[in-house]
Amino acid sequence: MSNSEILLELRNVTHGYSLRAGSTLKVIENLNIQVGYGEFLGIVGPSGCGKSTILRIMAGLIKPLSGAVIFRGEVLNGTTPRISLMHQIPTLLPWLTVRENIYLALTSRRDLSEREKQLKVSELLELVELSGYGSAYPYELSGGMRQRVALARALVTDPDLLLLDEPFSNLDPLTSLSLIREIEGMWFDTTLPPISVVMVSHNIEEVVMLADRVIVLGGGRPAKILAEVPIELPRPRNKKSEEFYRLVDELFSLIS
Amino acid sequence: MLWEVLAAVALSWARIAAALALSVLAAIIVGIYSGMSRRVDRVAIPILDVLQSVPILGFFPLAVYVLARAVPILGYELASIFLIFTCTFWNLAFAVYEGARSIPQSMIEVAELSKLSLRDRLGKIYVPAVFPKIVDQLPASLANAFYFLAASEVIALGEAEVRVAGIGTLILRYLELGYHAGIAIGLLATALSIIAVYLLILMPLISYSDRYRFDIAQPPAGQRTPMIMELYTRIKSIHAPLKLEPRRIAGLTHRVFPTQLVNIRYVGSDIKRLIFIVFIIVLLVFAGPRIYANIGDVWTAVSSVAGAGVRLGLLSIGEALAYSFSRVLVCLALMLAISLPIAYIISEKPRVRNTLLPVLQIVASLPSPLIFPIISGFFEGGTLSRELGAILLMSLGSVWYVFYSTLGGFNKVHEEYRELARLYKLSGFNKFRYIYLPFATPSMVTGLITATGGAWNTVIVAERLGEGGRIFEIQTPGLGKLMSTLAEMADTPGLVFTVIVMTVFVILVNRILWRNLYDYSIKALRIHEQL
Repeated sequence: MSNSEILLELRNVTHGYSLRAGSTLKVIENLNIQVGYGEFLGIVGPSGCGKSTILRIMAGLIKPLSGAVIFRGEVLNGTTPRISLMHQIPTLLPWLTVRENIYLALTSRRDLSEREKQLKVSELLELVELSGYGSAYPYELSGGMRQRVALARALVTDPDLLLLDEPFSNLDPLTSLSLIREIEGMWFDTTLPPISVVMVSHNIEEVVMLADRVIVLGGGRPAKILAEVPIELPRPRNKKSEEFYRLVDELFSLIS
Repeated sequence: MLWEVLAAVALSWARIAAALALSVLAAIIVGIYSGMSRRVDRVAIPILDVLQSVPILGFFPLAVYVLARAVPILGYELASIFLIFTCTFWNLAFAVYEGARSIPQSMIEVAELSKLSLRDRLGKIYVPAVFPKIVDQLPASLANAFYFLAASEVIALGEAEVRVAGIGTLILRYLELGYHAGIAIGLLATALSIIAVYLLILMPLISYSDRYRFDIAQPPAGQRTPMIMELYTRIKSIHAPLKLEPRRIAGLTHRVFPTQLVNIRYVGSDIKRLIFIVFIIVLLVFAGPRIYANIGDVWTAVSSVAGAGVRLGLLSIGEALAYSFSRVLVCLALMLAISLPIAYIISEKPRVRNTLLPVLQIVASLPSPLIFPIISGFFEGGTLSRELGAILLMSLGSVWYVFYSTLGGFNKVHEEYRELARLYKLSGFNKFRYIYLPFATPSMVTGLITATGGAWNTVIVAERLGEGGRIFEIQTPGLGKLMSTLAEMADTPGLVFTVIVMTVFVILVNRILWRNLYDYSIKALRIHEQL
């Protein structure tokens, strides 16, 4: 990838947690990851390999111990509305309606008028097919609907980069499949944000369904990049195709 | 004189330690037992709730009468320990109960499936789960014990007054003698001993209990450990053999209750009910005949108390009550105004938390009577100034309940929600309004309920404070002022009547106002549907 094709890059990033004895447990060490323009990058690995930490470093939520995050050619310092993160659990506020929950992402934006903000919220509600539910409270929604609200909130800021932290792991298989289709649809529609997506998951099938390229992490602590596998299957992808199975198998054998 | 002070401090500490140990043990038994079974829960919690709301003064005559008469020599000591116990037990019991109730159902099912013995259930699940809750409440209990230190060391028995030896009574004597150097040294020694206990016992215990918490995030590397933390990791390593591990406690119970208890796999609900009934029967068998034998005395007492109500005038009692209630309300508002911003800052900034929290916890354990003379001197001016002084005195005793429960509520905000605020760059105010305040409201209301009880308890001291012949009192009516005047005049029927009025009022307000506010906040915030 040449520099002009890179949206976000981790350069020699090392991060870890301090232990009681004063030593540091390194979760990742000298990691280099590039996210291309228009790329859907999947990161898979066993639990505890630092996938979520990587995502939070990309979001500017965690400052790594060493190394740098380069976003659009500049060093990233802290969070920006240009990068959105969708959590594993929907993290909706129970005391706010669906509309208010999505609006929360725009509360601090000064470049938009109140009307524009409300318009954006409506637009996103429509996109995730929840137009009729604006004044509902999260507890009145099903798990899949809540996750769609969280997706709408992540997209309402028109981010360039969307980070997905195990977005389907708390959903039943049917609901997660429909959400996968939804994200895929959004991905096809070039008029919609985001430019690129990074999805972290331990479910290999989900990642093969969606990603253009998969990074396999593992090898204990600190975690290393075990492999990079391009997924060049045509979209929409068929879970039942032989190619699909072959790729899932290949990734499985890399992890285990 | 120095030796006198040191001996008195040691004696007071011995009493407080005994009362605390008793409180922890009783809290574990009552709290876990209520948390384990719905049936006990339905009986025990309302009883605890009512007892908690009874002003501490109400316990004095009863405890003294029973204990001082029942046990000849040690009776007064026991009565004093019991009085301290009434200051330290309630918050512990409720914390243990809350801890026992919040154990995930799945964990209890695992215990059920693997047929764990009662001992293992306690030692492996319940005691470790409530251990951090107990540790969290210890500073508050300790602070409360010291707040009522002097009161718990002076035991009034009818006309006679017995003072047990301790730093509270020693300072009282110095006050009466006007011996200022003695007062200063006494207070200083108390403060230093509290700081020492805090550093050597409480802080290591708090840091140790962290491993039993589910929700503690690991601190990122590279952050400098504050000096005070380093200090106590070092202290911890010094007296490691003294560590009070739940496993050891469990081992201890094993030794105390050998085979019988251990072999009962699980106390069935029928057996529990039986134990409860047997307890009631035993109580009736032992206490019944005595009550019956003295029925005449009981009748005289009741009629003299009722007579006191008429004598004092219901209207003037009502007026005093109204004044005191408004003072309590202002006091609560003040405590919230102080606690909210500080707790918010502490929960938001780890660096501030690490340095400020230990300091605050030490300050919280200092006996506030230490500051009483300063406040009474400072606010002696006019009517309004005295009101302020009284409200400040009341706040000092219970502000910590509000503060710690609010902080606990803020700490319940999950990391993901904090990240949300940072992702969308919410301003401090919006973050507070949309995320922190709603999350903290239920615990905050719980803290306010406890603090109301505390404020009512301190009303008696705050509205009329006598020290060394000088009296600092409010110039408007007040129930606390009335009560301490009655106590000084040894008007027991009048005192009992006012205690009953206060208790009934506190319970009513608790039931009508606070419970509904709590339920409303839970409902309005849809906390039970928390995602």
